[in-house]
Amino acid sequence: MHSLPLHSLKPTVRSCQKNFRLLAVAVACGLYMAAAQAQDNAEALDVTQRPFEELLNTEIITAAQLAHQISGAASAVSIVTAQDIRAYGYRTLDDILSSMRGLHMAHDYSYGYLGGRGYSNPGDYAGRITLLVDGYSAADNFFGQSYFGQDAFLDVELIERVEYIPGGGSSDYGGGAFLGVINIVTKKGSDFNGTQVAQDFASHNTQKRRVTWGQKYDNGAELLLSASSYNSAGRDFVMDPTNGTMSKVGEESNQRLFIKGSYQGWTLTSAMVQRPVSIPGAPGAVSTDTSGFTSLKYDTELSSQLKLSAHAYVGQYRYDATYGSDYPNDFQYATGRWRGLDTKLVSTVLDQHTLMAGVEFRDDYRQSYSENFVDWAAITIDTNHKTWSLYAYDDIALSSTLKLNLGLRHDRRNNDTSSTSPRAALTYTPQAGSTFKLSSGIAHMQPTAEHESWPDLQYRIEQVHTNELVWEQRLDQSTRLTSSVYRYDIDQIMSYGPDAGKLFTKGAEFELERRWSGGSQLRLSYAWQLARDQDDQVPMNSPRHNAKLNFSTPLLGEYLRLGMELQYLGSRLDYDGLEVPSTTVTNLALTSKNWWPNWQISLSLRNAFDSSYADVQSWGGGTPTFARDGRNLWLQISRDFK
Amino acid sequence: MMRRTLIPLLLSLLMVGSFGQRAHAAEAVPEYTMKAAYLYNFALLTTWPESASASGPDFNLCFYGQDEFGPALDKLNGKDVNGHKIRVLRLDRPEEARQCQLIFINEPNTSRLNRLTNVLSQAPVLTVADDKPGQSAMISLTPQNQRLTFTINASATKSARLQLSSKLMRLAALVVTP
Repeated sequence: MHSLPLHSLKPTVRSCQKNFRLLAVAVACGLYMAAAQAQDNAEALDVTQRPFEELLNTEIITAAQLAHQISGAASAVSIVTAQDIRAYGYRTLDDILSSMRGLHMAHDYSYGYLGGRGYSNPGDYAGRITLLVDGYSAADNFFGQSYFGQDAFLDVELIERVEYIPGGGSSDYGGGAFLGVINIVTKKGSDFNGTQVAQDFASHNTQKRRVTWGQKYDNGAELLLSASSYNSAGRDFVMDPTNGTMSKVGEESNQRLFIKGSYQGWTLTSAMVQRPVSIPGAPGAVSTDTSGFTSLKYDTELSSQLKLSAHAYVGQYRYDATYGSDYPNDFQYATGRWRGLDTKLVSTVLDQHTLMAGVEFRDDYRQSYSENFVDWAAITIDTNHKTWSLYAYDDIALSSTLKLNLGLRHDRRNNDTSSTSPRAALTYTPQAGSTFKLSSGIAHMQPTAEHESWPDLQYRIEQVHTNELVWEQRLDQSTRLTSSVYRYDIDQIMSYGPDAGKLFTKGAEFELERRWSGGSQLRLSYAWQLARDQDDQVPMNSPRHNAKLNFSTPLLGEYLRLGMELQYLGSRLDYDGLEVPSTTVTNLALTSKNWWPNWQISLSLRNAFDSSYADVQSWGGGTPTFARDGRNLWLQISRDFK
Repeated sequence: MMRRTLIPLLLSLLMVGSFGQRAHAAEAVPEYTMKAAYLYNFALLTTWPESASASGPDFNLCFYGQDEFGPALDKLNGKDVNGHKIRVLRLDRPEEARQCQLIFINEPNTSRLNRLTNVLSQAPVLTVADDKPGQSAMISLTPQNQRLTFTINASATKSARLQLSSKLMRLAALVVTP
């Protein structure tokens, strides 16, 4: 089933149980030891004593590897790099996001739903964050959903970096960025410089093939072409005694194409993905998502103090579900088409100011849906929206240690509904390595075409007030500690009754990132959150505790690397208000690079200790939770031809 | 229940235990620690005109712009450069740059950068910057194959009356001459 309307405020009674103490001790212990170690290590290094010739031949650990943030973001940004993707054997965007501080994914074997910062009803959060692929907003225009699994645009091997910027991003990115932004930066032709061929084998009779070709030319032009296909037989599933066994759950396949070219200020990106997947519980039922976009960007310097950036895009989406031979006349069909133009100017003419102003026009010229189910009235919807947006920000250097950032965006849709989203942030750097960021803002989300299509749903422009304080402390050159406390107040939540829903969330997050000069790296994070609705009840699927530990270390230089990942998700409530127990999942990965020249092998063991755990589903009925896979294996072999 | 909590604990302890062994097998060096060491070597291998060292007994090693060095730069404080003690200065205003012998620049704001360039015009101050769009300096640093390389703009150093040693010229990845 596709994303369903909102039930986020279903009254719930129980609060989360703390089954947590041991892991917390381990995490605290790890934090302390790593911090102490960091101090020792910094003093051991005095490279000025070494001969200059030797330094020229010494490897450096770049700041980019200790992931650095997208500029100006007054938020506690999380970053996963291409190196992390390899080291931990991530296969989907879903795996990448699951490893980030405070985020968690729920799956129904058709789609993956992102949860974070209190807002976690499967199906909801995905529509309330913006997923950007090189700056292009990748959600469809009917359900407003972003895709993270085999239905996502990109093979993870094409990803250079994924950044998650929590907090209301409406003032920068518009309505979709209600609770945050996920930005994917893709690789360039020069990252491959030749052809790469990969073959994957995995549990559940899964295979994947990929060919990527990339080149950088002498005139500076770069070109990247990639195609892949994937298929998985799914698994048999024992639900419960009454429902019996479901077969081929998660049977899916996909085909992907990706093209990226750049020359001087121009960048052209185009991506396409088609993914049919079985619909759990309905034999022979298949839903197919097809998404594609083309985006053209032009960046130029009009003068040394004035830059222009223009971005034109077209996109389309199709959803097509059939329900097997038992229900030959049943179907659901959605289609969306859109195009847009976004232009902005960035000026540094004024001393101490970086000023930006832009205008975006987006035409969702097709948003249609039809469904036909036996016993139900057939539905046909055909709508469209035109959105004008004006936005601006100013980055003001008040002094050498204090920076003020002001942003404002006005979105107007179909000449009738409009919203204005302001944001202010103060960044204070009392000394090198210490940064405090205080930010406050209001963000909005316009209802999607799907929301408008539900006859009983009272849809409104949702509004969130966000307040956040972030402290980033560099303990030494390769260790960073990030802490954050926040409060989100969401109002005007779409509901089925006359009263708008509300959601109040407060939370605290900590993260320690550390890289050793020997090549080992550590990331430890813990997120605590407490969400309450208008009736003071904890909403469904909103775990109070969420902790992650990632450690990777070279075993034989860079020839062989081991990655270990531990994810703890505290207990949370299902749709019916019943408690779903906490889960701890361990993933292991072993990657070898250039052991044989140009060959790369990666073996990952997900859920290595075969824990049994389940994900909360967006509505109750017979299946409040879906059990997740036990131990499963993934092998990837790739070869470069240069 | 037992297994769910015990295994993570054991794994965490295992990981923590392995830190110490890894840390000192050190070969690679953090980027900014390395950059600071390069600045120190540039200072050692450059000769300033008489007039420039008349400003005082100290060797003023300056920094201008967005600080990514952290404490790595401060570790150079007090080190000896041909009989002068290094004093690390972080500049707030471009006008302060003339008291420097060497300055590392990391300023993305073009107007502030232009002001600095005007202040420094032909002054005997060795300028160093990362090799990225919009930055120009006598010595540019470029990470390449996980090593740090540097390029020398010899015409700029010449007009500032700075004499770079032949060793420095030899170690540069590229020397740009007019």
